[in-house]
Amino acid sequence: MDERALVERCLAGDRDGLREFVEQFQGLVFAICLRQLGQRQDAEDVAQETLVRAVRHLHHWDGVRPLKPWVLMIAVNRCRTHQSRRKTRAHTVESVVEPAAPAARLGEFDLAEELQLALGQLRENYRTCFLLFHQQDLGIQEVAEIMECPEGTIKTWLHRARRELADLLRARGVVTEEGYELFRV
Amino acid sequence: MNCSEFESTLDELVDARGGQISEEAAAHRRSCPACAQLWRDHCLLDAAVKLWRPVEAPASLTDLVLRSLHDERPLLQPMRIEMEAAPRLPVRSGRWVVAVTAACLAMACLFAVRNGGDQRDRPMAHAPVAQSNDSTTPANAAPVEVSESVVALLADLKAEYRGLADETKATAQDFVAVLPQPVAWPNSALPGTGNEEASSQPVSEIGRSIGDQIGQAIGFLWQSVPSGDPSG
Repeated sequence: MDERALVERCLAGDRDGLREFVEQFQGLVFAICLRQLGQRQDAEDVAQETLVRAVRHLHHWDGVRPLKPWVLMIAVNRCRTHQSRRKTRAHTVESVVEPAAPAARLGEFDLAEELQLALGQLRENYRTCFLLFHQQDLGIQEVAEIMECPEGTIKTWLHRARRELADLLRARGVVTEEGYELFRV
Repeated sequence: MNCSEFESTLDELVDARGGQISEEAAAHRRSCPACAQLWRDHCLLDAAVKLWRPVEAPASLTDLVLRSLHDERPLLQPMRIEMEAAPRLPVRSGRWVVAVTAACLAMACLFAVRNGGDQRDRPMAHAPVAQSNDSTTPANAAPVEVSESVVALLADLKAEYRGLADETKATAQDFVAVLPQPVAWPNSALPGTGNEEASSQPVSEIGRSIGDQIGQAIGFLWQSVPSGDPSG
């Protein structure tokens, strides 16, 4: 269905429209919240808050622009707010990272898990940028709009995020399997 | 190709979400250990991103969101209904409008009378008007022209004021009359304090003098009201 028509149904108070809107975006919103916050319970709370806020402010959405980045922008801002609150409670994402066995041979599951743990150690801007680009498959321009930064800044942050993640993975003993190189050569 | 160009090639690969590097870049990677490490990191991250498990939202999230939205509205609607159904208080500003208008008119008249003609130095310019029948009126004291409506208004005000003063004075005297006679002041009239004489003064007399003072004060205020009516 057309995004504009869906939004108009929601604004008219159509319950089916509201359900459709929530079901369409809850996966994306929950994913970005979980990757950003690193804890499932927090991610559920913030995702719920994000979707409620999105519905409540649907009349502010610019119909010319796509809906997905607008909803994700709300999610990113909610995550930021939640993280700042959590910092005041001295409970950071880093606290959930556990040391890995050095030079461990990683399976597919472990590699994704290690990436998630390393993400928790990145600066908030780098992490958001990396997630929006790689997880949500947004383009540089859309990420720039969501984060309200120039595209050049987003490219720089993305480059640094990848470099820091690689350093963190290497420091945690995540060794590169020879097979990975075969993808590229 | 140098290391900087190789790094730019990697960034282009990231922007394009994959692709092949050129033969030239591959040759540089084989000859440069630092760029070979960059390449391995790049491949590692791409593999990790691909292996990211898809995240599924909890099944209850939709219902939680819809319930939150639903719970907000019933809270607002009854409030709005209550506000609409609340009876409006009667507007009682009519009296105030009349009183304020009369006061403003009186002030304006007073100001106009005081500043009228050549009588700026005189404290009350309406005095010659009130004494216009008096033969002792100086010839140079020209009467100030006051319209008939203003004169009538001031006469009404003064008559009402006189009635109020009389009524207040009578009420005060009635109050004093009903007071019991053998009453003395409680503290200052104790024996041995030297105030026995004062304590022997009946309260009714004290009250009567208070009533007289009130009457005098009201009379003074009454006298201070300007009058355009020669009868005062």
